[in-house]
Amino acid sequence: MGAPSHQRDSDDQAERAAFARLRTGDPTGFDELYARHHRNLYSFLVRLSGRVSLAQDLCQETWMAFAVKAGGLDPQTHVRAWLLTVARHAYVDQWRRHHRFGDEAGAEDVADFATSALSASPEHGVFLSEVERALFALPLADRELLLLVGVEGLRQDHVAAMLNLEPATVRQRLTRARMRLANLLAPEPHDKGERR
Amino acid sequence: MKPTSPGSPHETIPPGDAFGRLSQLPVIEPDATWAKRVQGLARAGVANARVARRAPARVTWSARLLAAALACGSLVYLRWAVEAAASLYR
Repeated sequence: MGAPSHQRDSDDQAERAAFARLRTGDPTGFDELYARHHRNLYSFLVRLSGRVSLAQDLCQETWMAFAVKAGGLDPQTHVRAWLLTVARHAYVDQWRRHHRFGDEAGAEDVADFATSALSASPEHGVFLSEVERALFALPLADRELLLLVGVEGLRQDHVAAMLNLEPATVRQRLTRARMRLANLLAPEPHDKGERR
Repeated sequence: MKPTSPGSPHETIPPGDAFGRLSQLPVIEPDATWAKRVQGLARAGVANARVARRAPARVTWSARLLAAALACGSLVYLRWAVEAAASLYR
């Protein structure tokens, strides 16, 4: 799925060129990378945290870190994976510091963007908005895996490196997370009874 | 999709699970004004980081040129030292 391979290759080349410019301190390189990744990074953080205001803070923190550190990064750095890793660490740090960021606090924000899924895709909107809500009802460890692999489309070996886990562990956790998501979305037993 | 068994024989993913649909979730658009502001701040961070990386080398060169100017009594070296120091603030 996704873009054809030749388009992906030219995208990769353009991204590498922009990153090379940024590493020399050229702000146009930053602009290009920001334009490519800021929406996905923001979406990831909103879905991970369930809070728009927190996602905005963490997003800003991540971009500032990228701007300052880009010059010292390896030229082969996978920019998207780097940004998602830093963003995830920033969120996990916040989450550990303030355990009061419970799921309930973000419930209204989740409802908001789940509804926006409805308007963005009328065809599958109802199902997708249910998926949004179910994602947020999962434990953090499941949610982040599903977001990184399922939504962001990162390879499992990249995710294993990001989370400092063995690839086999990531596979196993992912399977369990998929199962929990599926169970949350499964029809209630009384629904089955009504269909009979 | 075929059900899989991750850990125990009792754990199976129901067929047609939502995982495949996750990639269809729409991007959540940030507020455009906020996004521009963050871009501006981070862009300034790029420029500051460039200056910060160059500054130590310039300070070293400025000090060397000043030492050479004092040692040789050369106005040319003195001028270069002042220019190197001034470039830190450009």
